[in-house]
Amino acid sequence: MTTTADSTTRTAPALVPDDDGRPPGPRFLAPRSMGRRLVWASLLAVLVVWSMRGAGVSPGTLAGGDARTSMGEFLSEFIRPELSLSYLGEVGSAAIETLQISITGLVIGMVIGAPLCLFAASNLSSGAASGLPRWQRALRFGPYWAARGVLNLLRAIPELVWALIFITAVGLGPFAGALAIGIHAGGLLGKLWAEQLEGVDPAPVDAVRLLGVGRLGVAALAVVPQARRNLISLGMYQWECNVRAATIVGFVGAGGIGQQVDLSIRLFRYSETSTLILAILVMVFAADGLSTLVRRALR
Amino acid sequence: MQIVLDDVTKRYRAGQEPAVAAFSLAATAGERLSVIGPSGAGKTTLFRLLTRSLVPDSGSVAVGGVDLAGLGQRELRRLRRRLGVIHQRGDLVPMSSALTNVAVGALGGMGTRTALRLSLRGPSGDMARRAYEALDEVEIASLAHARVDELSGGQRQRVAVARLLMQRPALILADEPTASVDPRSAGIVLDALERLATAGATLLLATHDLSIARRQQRILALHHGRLAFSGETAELTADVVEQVYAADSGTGQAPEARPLAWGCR
Repeated sequence: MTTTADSTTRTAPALVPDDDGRPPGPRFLAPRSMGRRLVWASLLAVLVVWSMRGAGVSPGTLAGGDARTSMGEFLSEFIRPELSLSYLGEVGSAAIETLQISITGLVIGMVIGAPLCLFAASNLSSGAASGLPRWQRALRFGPYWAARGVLNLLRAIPELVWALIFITAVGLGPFAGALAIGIHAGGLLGKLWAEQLEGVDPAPVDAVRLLGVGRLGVAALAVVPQARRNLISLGMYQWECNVRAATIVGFVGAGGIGQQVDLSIRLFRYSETSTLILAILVMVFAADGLSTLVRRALR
Repeated sequence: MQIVLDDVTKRYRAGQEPAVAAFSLAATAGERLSVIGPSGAGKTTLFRLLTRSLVPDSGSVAVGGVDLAGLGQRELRRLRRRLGVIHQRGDLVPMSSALTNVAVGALGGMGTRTALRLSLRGPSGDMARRAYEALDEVEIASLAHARVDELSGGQRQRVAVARLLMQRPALILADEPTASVDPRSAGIVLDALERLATAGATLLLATHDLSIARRQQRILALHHGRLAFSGETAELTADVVEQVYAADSGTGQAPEARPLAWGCR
């Protein structure tokens, strides 16, 4: 026995010989033989053709005269972005509104996601490490499943649909956009955060739990400190996504730069569309750069 | 705190050989016991039964005169406050300072607000003072503000003991606490645990190191989940040790025989 050994490796749980730790998949699906590969390839081909027909793909329409003239019209204006100072000012304030929507959306998302992720992390459930019989443990996982369900619901409905719902509630404008993005972001952050909380080293968590500390205390003192960096990093990433989403929800009238894009296309002012798309590009790149910087600083 | 295990059997999976089989044990308050036996003999299972991290398939476990089976979550938490657990690796919270980790030991009896305040601002006032004292007792006060994941294994284990000192448990469950620790830290860890025991806590110390085992009042030897030997330190003969640690060619799964640490220190 070496007494000075200071290894940090953890002993792996005993596994059955061919167990790679993942849930076993159906064996017959493994493409091992030539014949099987052929079957797979033809199935794939059928799927692709079927999908393209469903999507109404017709190269003729895209190359046809009408499409060509209208695209030409669009492009000839598009390469001359509207750069007058007064218009740039308009674009600037729309872009700022989009950023404000994205940040408000992040705050709403965090307010929704933070409490839900505590319930949606299985290691923080009152059923975890309770030493109870199976069915009692299952019962205690009730809130966990409920939180997962709520998060799935929030996430499954796209921002655009949320925006349409909130426009009927609070009217056209940026508030509807912020609410829509916030709700969706809450669903995403709740799920992603919960997964980060579940991914921490369980030994310190069990140790603190055994000290008799309550569940919120265990979360605050043993789980969150281990996951803190990743939680912040995911928050930044979500903000980045929010900026993109905030331009989209504008198309249905939920404020910001997207609303201007919609307007310019409807009025056939393609040089304005061009300016707006450039502004969106600048914004998205800036958000991407900023969030990358923050995440890098955390490492 | 006294411990009574009565005819306890625990299988991890139905049909498997039990991890602990027909196991009975009584220890009085303040007694110091060491538990030896090869890996897989059931030492860790025994400890997990005592904290009710596991429930037995049959038989009963009582700690401090209370049957663990009947406890609700709140009563269980109240009991666990008095159980000090320390493993081979300290199970400290990384990314958190040594001082905060130690202060957590005092949280058992306190409310959620104290816990949240500690997580946001670190320990303060009386709690901070006691945490420093505990760190000082294991000769590591100078590293109070270092992050735990930046400490060596031996230092971390001393921080874990400081957390126990902060907790003031009535029963200490130490599962190979010195197995991966430098000799100096091991000495500090053992001294501190034994001091806690002398002050009235019951100590259950699992170890492969016979020189450490012999420092306690009574030795239990586990073999295949059964109590192969229980007696005073002087009664532990080389025969018993050989029998317990020998790889058996008999029935069932062969235990993983570990080389013994005779006179390791």
